[in-house]
Amino acid sequence: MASLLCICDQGYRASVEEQDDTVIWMAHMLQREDNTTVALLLRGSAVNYASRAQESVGVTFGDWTQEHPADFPRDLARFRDDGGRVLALASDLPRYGLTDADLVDGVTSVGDADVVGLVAEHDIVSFW
Amino acid sequence: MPKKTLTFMVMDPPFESTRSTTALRLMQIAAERGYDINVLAYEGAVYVPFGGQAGHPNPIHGNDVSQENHPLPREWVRIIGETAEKNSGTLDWVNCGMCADERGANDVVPGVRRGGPPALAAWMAESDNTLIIPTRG
Repeated sequence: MASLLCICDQGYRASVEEQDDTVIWMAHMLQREDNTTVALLLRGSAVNYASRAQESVGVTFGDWTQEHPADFPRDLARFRDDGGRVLALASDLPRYGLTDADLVDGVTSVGDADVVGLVAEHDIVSFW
Repeated sequence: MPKKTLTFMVMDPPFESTRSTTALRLMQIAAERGYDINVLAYEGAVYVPFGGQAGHPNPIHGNDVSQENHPLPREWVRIIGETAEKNSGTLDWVNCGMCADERGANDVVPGVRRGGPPALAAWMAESDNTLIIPTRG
């Protein structure tokens, strides 16, 4: 069993077209594999993925309307349901006007010093 | 509302950032107002109107290809052109020819033509405004 820490730094990078975040998507796909366990650490603008207040309404071009805009609280919940762990860097939360009370259920905020321990306890660390 | 001519230059490929998507949304608004729109797609943005884009199922979402209804920027380019025409405007989309050649991106939706910096220079001289949306590393 390999443990992977995915640090996601850029929020909303291509989420309009992809209808999700490709880093969270990859983390989730790896989590579904029998031989991998994944922790997802949100930092930078990606901490807003954990905000329960967000609502994506999708884009419209002419008569074309997006049916399935990205839904990050849903995607994080499904990742957790499959055994993934979701963390948010506490020092980045206030930069986006967030507190722990604003986060979706199951997301744990961690301090900068905790990151050292997270890096040490995982086999592989990836910074996206 | 007086007719305007707007020129855009975009650099980012689709499916990798929000910048070219934002440019397309601005173009759609301009098309709805009947503006004449010029676009130079440079570097990876030549893939925005790439004809080979196709939707796919998404196992994480639990959707098949039809349910996922994946957004395709090439379709947005087509819609912008149709919207402009319907409102007595135009869309003149030029893909940088050298950028397209090196990327093998010459399969494009109808209406997209090849060109380069001379087109941008001419447009900048005659347009009401020019918006350059560069890439970022």
